[in-house]
Amino acid sequence: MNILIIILLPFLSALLILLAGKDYSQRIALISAAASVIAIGVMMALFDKDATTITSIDLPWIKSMGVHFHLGADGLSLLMILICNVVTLISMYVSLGDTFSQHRLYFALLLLMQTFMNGVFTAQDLFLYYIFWELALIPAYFLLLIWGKGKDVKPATIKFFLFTLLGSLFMLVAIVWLGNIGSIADFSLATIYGLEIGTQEQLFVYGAFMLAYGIKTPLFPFHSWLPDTYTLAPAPVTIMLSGVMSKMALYSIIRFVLPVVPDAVEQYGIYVVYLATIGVMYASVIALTQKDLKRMFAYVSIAHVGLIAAGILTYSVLGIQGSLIQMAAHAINTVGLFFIAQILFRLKGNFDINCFGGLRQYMPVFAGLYMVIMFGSIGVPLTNGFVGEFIIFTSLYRLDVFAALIAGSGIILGAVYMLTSYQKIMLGPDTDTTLTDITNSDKTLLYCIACIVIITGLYPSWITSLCDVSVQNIIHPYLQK
Amino acid sequence: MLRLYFVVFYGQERINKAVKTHIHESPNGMLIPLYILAALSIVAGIMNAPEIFHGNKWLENFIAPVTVLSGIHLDHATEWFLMSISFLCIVMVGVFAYDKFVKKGKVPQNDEALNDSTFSKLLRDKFYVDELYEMLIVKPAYSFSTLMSTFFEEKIIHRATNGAGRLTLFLSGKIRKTQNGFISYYLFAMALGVLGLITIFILF
Amino acid sequence: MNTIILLAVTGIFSMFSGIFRQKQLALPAILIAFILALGMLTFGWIGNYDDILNNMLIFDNLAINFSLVIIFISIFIFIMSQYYYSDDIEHLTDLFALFVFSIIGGILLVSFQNLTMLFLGTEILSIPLYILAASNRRNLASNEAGLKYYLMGSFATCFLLLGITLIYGAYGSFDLTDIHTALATQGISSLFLTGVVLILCSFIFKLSAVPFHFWAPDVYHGAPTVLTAFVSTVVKVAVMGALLRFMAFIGNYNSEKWVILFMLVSVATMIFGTIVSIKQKNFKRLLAYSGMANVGFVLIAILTAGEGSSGYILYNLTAYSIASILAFTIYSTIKSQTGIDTIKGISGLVTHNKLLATGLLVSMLSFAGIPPLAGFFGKYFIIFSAVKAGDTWLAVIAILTSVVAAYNYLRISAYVVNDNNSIPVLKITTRYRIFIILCIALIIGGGILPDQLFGLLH
Repeated sequence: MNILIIILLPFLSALLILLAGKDYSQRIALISAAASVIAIGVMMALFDKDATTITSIDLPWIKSMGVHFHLGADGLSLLMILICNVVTLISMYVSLGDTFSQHRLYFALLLLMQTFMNGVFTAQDLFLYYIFWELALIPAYFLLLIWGKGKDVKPATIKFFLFTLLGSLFMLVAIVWLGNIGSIADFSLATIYGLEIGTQEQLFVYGAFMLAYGIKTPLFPFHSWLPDTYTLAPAPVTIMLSGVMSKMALYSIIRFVLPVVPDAVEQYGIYVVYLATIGVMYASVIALTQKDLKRMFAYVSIAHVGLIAAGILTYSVLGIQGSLIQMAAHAINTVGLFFIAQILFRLKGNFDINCFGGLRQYMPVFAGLYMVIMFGSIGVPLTNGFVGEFIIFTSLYRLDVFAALIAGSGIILGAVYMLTSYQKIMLGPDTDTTLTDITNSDKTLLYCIACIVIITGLYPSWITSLCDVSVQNIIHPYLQK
Repeated sequence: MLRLYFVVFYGQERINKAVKTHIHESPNGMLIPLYILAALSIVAGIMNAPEIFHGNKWLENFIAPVTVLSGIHLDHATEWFLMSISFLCIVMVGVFAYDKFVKKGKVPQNDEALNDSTFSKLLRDKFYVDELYEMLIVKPAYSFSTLMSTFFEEKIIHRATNGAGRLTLFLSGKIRKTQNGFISYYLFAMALGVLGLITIFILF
Repeated sequence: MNTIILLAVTGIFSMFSGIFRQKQLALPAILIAFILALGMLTFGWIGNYDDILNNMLIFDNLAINFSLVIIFISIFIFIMSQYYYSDDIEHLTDLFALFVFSIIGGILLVSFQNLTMLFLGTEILSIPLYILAASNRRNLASNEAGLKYYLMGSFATCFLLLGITLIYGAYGSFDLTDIHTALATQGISSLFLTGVVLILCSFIFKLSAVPFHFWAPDVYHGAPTVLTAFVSTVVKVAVMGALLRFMAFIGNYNSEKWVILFMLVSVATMIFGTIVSIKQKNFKRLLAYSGMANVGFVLIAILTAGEGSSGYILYNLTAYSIASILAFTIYSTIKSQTGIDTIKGISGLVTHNKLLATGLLVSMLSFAGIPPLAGFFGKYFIIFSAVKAGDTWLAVIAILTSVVAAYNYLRISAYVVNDNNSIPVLKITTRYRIFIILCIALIIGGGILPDQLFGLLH
């Protein structure tokens, strides 16, 4: 199965939507997103788990700069593009529930975002990767700018863009440096992995990369753009940002930071682990008193990605595997939560937790599904959040007891605010008797998400076995040579 | 748990007539999940039956990555010991509860009516753990959270990031004033510039 | 040389077509001549005329490449001028002729081999510009711009002449090769060094870099938009070419001193240009500052000059020029039809004018350096040359300023996609449409196939 298909399919669909004489945008977008998911399903079915990479395309692009248009996927990339495309499909489906002005442009931008994110996850050339990485920001920027709600959208969006651009440009300097160490400029991953870099230089590269990824993930002191952005964005865009864009950075840490500058990670990884775990605690504490449901979920998201980043930077097979499971779990859970927030928003026209109450009596199915997804997010055993969290904790504990303790208390706090908000919204005195349960289409989607939550919780080892070879390669690059 | 069970299902009836007519087996909507849960809890037990029962650790395999690292292996004696202790405890408590609530037909009184020993009261009020918890953990946690979100997040994190932008804008407003439109000033600045560049060139 | 002759003839033809009331012939003739000139340069029919020229001009690769870019961008400027000047404007053909003469000056400048030619080139380039800046006679701002440009330009010319004189005084020759041999035999004299600094000052002035930047915003703002576009694109390419040639000549002597001088100038220009730009309300003034910041950027490539740096500079300037011509064209259309000249005013452009909005967005994103638009590679090459030369800190400053500058472009794009309909449907012709699409295609194409575009420059 050719990987090019998941780049071309959404890209061409986007062009089709923009250029078609008539407006079939919704249909084209949904079909394209579903087809991408199926394509990845086929790819995964055919994937040989012991293969390191399936390279589907490798064309020289900019010869004078040694840049190749080189796409390929190993288990790790497959997992990421699976997440990306499933989330996109969900996002498209959620979009159908609301009306958007200029919806042709809207769906085209969503598809473009999907294209570029798929590119990020499959690029085997550092320069190409950077281009996709930067490009993925553009549709997000316009989606936020045009369809974001609230009067602060413009400054918030510009802040988001500038903040991430700042990080990316530092990364660009590092990439330029890495690609030109040899006598001939070469950005292919195989070459970059093979470089012998001095400790001092490794530290600079590590710093530049981690700045970019720290902002995009986001890690603790760099998260300032996130709450506003997530809150003001329309629900499907929030879903894309939280579900996929944050994973872009986490994936990149695994793919580019760990194997390229192993000594720096060995030495200075612990600081980022501390930063990340403090972030877990910090975001959880702040989430505790948030009145706005979407904003609260935004902080929940910060806490969870912080934990994932900490897991990755333990620089152990265990931590990375746990993080991968947790990435898949977080993508689904956070998407579910933001979708729930959107359903609640449609009921009352705002996200204030205090204006809901007693919904369970009128919406039992919704309440049940909400509970399942929430349990997933908290990490109750037998849901998808549990296994990953547990493994990450174990790896953290082995690295540094203190970090594990901080992160652990953060996650416990997480359970507190999630349950409290659930209690406020679903239980308690009812405020409105005219409500009926959610529509069938919403129900279907929530059922699907809940199923994924439970199935992944019961059987998470497909992720570890899918990514095992890639992770081993990343942790022990020298064994493979 | 056993007290609850015996009192509710086997204890003396203390329901009034009106309500009694309503009692019926739960609807399927409730029963089916209950069946499933009951079945699952048995399955879950069997799945990971201890080694002495030749349990095959299905559950462990499910979450294989977790257990690979835990690496705790108990010998059979310990397993037996732990199992028998917990089993014995359950049986003992069960017998006690059955005796008290089913055989003797004792009905627990309402809380208000109780006026017994301090120990029971302490037990009934759950050792005041809830209150302690409320005072020591919940309230401080919430006020800490408010502090963090209003002070640290707003005043430090957001202000630092937005402040960088504001500072640039402020500088922009100041430096912009150098472009005042007077040509004599411009020419003077140019002459200074030439002098400056030559000086720098000679100095370095 | 053939190119210069061809262009000179075209300029004179343009003037005469005005006298003989054949206005409509001027523009097609100029465009055809330009395309011919491009062909001549590409296929090497240059004509050296060594015996006549006495080694005053040299048409090497650098000169040819820069001339190509100058003429290529000039074609866009002339097409743009068609939409700027209404048909009934008086002396239109004279204005065209002045543009052509200025371009000739630019070509002389990038191929000088003798300091007198440097002076002549600078003056032939500049004097038409002074007139053109004031060409909008009924507009006070235009008159002011012309006067300021002229006064300050002549001041800068004084420095240039003084510098040339000092060098002549030191070695008794204007010829670069002669001076070169004299340097090797007699050693470096302090007269020579001072002269070089003075000449560099006049270069810095023409490039509107700090500390000789004061004229630029006022002139850009007041002058007719076509001239603003011309000054910020063609003139910069020409002066940059001359500077590169000059640096190649002096670069071997006291190289670390030049590097420090250029570092200071480049860093100051980048910082000044970007920081001041973010508070600007007027669109044209903002573009002036952003052009200034870009000059600071390009100076990095000059001071880290290595192999291929002329290619990097040319790529950056071409990408920048096309994007800014696109922006200026759209701006002047909006200005002439609605009278709006502020950034806020273009709010909601996308509602009724999809093509114009797209064009503006593409040019803004290209300025901001978003891959894979041409502007990204323009920035990339500069960062690359800084990193390659080991001056990573310069690259970091360049990055920081370009993030600040990106704020401007994001600000503009946010206004463009605003959903109100304050701007009515603007009347545009099919040819105009094609021109805009061509520019957009060049910006995107230059980013997707940089190698091919780059190959043309070698």
